[in-house]
Amino acid sequence: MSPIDPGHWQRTSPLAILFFLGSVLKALARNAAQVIAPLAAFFLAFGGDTPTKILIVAVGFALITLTVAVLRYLFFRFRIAEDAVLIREGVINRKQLDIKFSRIQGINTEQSLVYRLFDLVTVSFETAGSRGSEGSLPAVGTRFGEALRETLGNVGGQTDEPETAAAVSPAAEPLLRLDWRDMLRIGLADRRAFLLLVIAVPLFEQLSGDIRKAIASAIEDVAADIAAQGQATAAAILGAGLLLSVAVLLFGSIVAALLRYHNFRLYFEGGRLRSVGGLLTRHEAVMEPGKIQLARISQSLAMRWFRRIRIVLRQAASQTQGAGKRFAIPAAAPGFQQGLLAAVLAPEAAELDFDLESPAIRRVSRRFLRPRILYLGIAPAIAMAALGWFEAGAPGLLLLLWLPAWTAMQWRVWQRLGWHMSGDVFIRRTGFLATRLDVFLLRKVQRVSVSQSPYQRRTAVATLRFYLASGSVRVPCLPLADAALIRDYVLYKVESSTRPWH
Amino acid sequence: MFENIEIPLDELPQTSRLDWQPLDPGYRLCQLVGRLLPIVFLLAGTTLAIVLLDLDTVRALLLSSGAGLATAAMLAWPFVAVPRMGYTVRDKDLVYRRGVFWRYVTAVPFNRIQHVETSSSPLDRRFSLATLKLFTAGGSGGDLRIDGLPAERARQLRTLVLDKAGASAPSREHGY
Repeated sequence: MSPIDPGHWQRTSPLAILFFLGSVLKALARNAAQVIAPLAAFFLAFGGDTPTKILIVAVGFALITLTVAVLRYLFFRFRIAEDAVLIREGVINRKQLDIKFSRIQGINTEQSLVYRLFDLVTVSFETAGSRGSEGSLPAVGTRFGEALRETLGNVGGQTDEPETAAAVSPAAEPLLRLDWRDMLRIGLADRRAFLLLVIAVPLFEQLSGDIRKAIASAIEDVAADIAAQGQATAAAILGAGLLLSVAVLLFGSIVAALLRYHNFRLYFEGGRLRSVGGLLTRHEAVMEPGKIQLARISQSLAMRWFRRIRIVLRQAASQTQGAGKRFAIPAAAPGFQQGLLAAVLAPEAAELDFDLESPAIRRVSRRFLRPRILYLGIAPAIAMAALGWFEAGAPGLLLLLWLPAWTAMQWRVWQRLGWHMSGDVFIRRTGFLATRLDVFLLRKVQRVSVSQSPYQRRTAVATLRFYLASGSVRVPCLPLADAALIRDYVLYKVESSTRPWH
Repeated sequence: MFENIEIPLDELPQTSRLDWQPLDPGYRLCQLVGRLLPIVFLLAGTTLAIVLLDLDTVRALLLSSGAGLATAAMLAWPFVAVPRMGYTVRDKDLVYRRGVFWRYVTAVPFNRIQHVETSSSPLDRRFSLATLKLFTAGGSGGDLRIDGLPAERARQLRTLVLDKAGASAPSREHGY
């Protein structure tokens, strides 16, 4: 018997209570302020010793969340109809969710450690609609999940490019496999760890004066203690502290990579991309090539050092920017994008060069540089130097160094900025330290805009902007004639296209 | 079979040379009326500041001339900006331009339109104006919005756009 039984309302496994518990806790964390207020009131309003109160709060909290989770589980029912997934949920606010198969953009499954023991998965559906209309089925059987994907795949598979399935090997051999060395690379190249450091400093500045003074005096005390033991020790302790915090951040970032991408495998089968990976929770994502709006190939400085690139395929996003509709390949050898994009953007992208340094990429007009250097380079440099001269005398003139630094930076940005258009595909390259290549099919464009600033009008250049269902791509400072021609050609491609954009 | 016909680029329909349809002439007046209230607040605020803070003559003059300039700019703006806005409806897309210093020309193909909306504020209704909004997928950076259309024209455009987009759009909006 097929595990999918149309026509019957069913409940998921009782282990789904775990899922609901998680979502209740998440909701509580989001509304922490509202939760803390009554708690504080409780602590202040009633007598009694603190440990008892903490116990009462803890027990009450556990009971309430557990009850809510159990209730939500009991009220959760779903049915797989002929052409839609029907979900009924909600205890007080009843919610009826009907997701048509045709609207489903992708199916992701997640398997946490507990679910893996019981052979269960959480299936979530991605749609192009708003965030509230996305559904998930917590704790259904693995076989059920697979059967569901099969059913939906058959529905979606007919709409777009059936020939690509045959073109690329349908065997279950993964296209890409990441091992522990890649986890190290991903973890070390993750900017977020360093971003934390960078954010921490201005945050400290933002703290109110009193707290800052308190912290500063505490640091001074420690510093005085250290200074008493000699400067060499002080420097050593400071250096060790810095090294230690960097090491902790890097370690955390590697662990995060391991948790998310352990044993990552990428498949291209049945005309769909599928990735599996994760240490404790197994993440599985599926993407139909036809739904890809934009492909981004990026290489950060660290990734360049490791000779790896990162690929992100984006689907149509809802109003909220970056609402998770992306398919990420966290690390791959350079050149891997060539075969992958040729396959997923087939047949249009078959013979294009997706190398980050492709000679086909053209630079934009050199006029890109002039207003940037003039208004953001020369003018601020003179103003700052003048201020510095008044405040600090001759050393203030050092601020003039802003100009060469800024100019060098803009020069690099201009060198990295480039574009290439074939008959069906547009490629834009941007970057400063990192390099990014954004690739999209012309027929996926939603609207085009050409704009000119006063300076651009005088020098006959224009900024071209493509709006896609997943965001916009901007190419500044093209010669006006080129920009107009590209726009007219893209409009022609969009308006004469008979293939779906989604 | 895959075909790759060469496209004569010179013969592509060009968006650079278009007959731009102007907005409703009443739109300038409408914008002017809409600015009256802020202007009154600005002038009242300036007067109050001068009286209450008891500013000396030089500062009072500076402040009031600043307020006067701002008022003049606000009053003149519709007469500069509105003539530079315009739209063109072609067979397959709608093109809209706007901007005084920074100029934008945006083209929306009909077969990418998700839904259409017309709206008019009480002030718009007094001048029988309406706003047409075209929504495409993704919704990044705001969708195309054309203010200051004659109400009748906005309704016509909405019907036209829906008809053109209709082949692919599964559901239609109802008129008011």
